[in-house]
Amino acid sequence: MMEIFLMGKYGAFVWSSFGITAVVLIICVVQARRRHQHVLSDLKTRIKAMESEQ
Amino acid sequence: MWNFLHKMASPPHFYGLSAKMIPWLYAAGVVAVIYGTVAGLFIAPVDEEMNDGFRIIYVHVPAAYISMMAYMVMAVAAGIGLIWRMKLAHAVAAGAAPLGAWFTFLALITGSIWGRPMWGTWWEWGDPRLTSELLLLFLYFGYMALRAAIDDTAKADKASAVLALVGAVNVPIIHFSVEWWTSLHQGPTIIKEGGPGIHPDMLYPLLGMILGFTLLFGALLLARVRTEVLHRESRARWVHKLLMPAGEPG
Repeated sequence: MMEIFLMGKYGAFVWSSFGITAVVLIICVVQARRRHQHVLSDLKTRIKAMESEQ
Repeated sequence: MWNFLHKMASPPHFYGLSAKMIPWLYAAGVVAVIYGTVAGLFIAPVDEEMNDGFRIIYVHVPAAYISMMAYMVMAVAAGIGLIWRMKLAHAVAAGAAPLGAWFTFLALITGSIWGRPMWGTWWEWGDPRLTSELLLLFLYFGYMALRAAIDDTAKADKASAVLALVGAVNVPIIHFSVEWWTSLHQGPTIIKEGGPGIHPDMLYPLLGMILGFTLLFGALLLARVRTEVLHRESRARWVHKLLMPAGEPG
């Protein structure tokens, strides 16, 4: 059973490739969300400032 | 169809519709990637030459494919933005760049990890496939740096669009590099004369992964373009209405 996971001498190469891929995909999702939240909160503060000036 | 495209091009419409599409694209992408990963790692038979080492194909090829597709999306969108002065197109180009850079990085790093046991080296300077893919990463960086350096959005759109279009020459070079020059890199696996050169049990997980990466890229691109649209339309009334519904104390 363990042999399936170890993949002979290639285990470290295969697993690190899949691991890095998972990390990069997660970074992409988190980055996109953070940027959106950042722009949203930035806009909200600006609009509030504008309204209080009026 | 034209009606739909016309509506999609209007920023408030795009903003609302994309919000509904993103979760579905993410979900479908995750399902396809899980299938591809499980089937690729545990069900696909071992390769005669590369043994279990060939399984890196299931992340490397989809990443490399998206790295080039993202550039085509970026260049075509930039071109549309230049010719028809469509703001949403420029937003698409700007959103595609950082994603393309990440997928290029992924293609390079997984390729390097694959190269080590197969070719005995992490990297080979001067290899046409490796070098042109590295150039792709620098083109994305150049595009993003140029945008970041110009404060005026309209000017940044134009200048970066020109760069994106000029750099598009590199995409066919990457694709055909293994045919035009001698390279360490192996030739195409799926798209070649006489059909795919691999066993169906190896092929289907790969197609699943490519589909999954494409769906995830679609979701990520829509998410980034939404942010870009919001940022660009910060003075528009629909944005103010959206963020500060009437009745809420200012």
